[in-house]
Amino acid sequence: MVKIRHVATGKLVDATVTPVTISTGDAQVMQTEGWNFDWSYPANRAECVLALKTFGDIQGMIGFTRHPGDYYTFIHLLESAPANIGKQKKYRFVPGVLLATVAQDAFAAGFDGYMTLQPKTRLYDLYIDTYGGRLFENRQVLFDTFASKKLIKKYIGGI
Amino acid sequence: MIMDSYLRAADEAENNMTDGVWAVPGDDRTFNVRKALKMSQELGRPLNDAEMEVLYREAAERDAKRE
Repeated sequence: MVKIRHVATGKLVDATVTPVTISTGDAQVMQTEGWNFDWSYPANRAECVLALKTFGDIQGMIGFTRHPGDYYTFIHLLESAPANIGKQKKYRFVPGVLLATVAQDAFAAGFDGYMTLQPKTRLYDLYIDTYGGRLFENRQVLFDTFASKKLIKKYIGGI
Repeated sequence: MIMDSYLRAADEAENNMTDGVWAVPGDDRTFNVRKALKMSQELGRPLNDAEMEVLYREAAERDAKRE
């Protein structure tokens, strides 16, 4: 169980992060509702997709693949639900909680928290300056042990 | 509500979001991430495509041997 903040009331609400499988039909419906990506396989090639839910509704999703041979996790996609975009968003901190959950998984998998992702262009500064990620190649940002621990502390260890 | 600078910056990014996308599909070819990080630190800059290709190839050859 994790907690995210309901913007209208300012209260923390319980949320769950669970693995989901999105069918092609589900993905089509989601895209008509405003989701940007087709989250079904093979359009989304992530080995694992996690959905953050409150009261049964998906608030955001993250897709990732573990690479045990090289001891890191690659994050394919991270998207907030259409209801959680911009100043009118319903819940706060959805992407952070999802990132922190995958960071936890990267520790549990024995990767020392190492994970990489390709941010949306305008978010590089956030990932690097705030989240502590490192731009180790032209596009991908790396979270090392320290950065992943910080994410977990901030988003799961208490907001 | 009191938020520290970390969460405030993240909240600001959420406010400025126009499409909800936080990570886009990237190149998921496996490579030695710790070696890449070390090389990047030694060079003092992010690795370029040619340098990453070498790491991708090394990992592919290693995996082929394991199989």
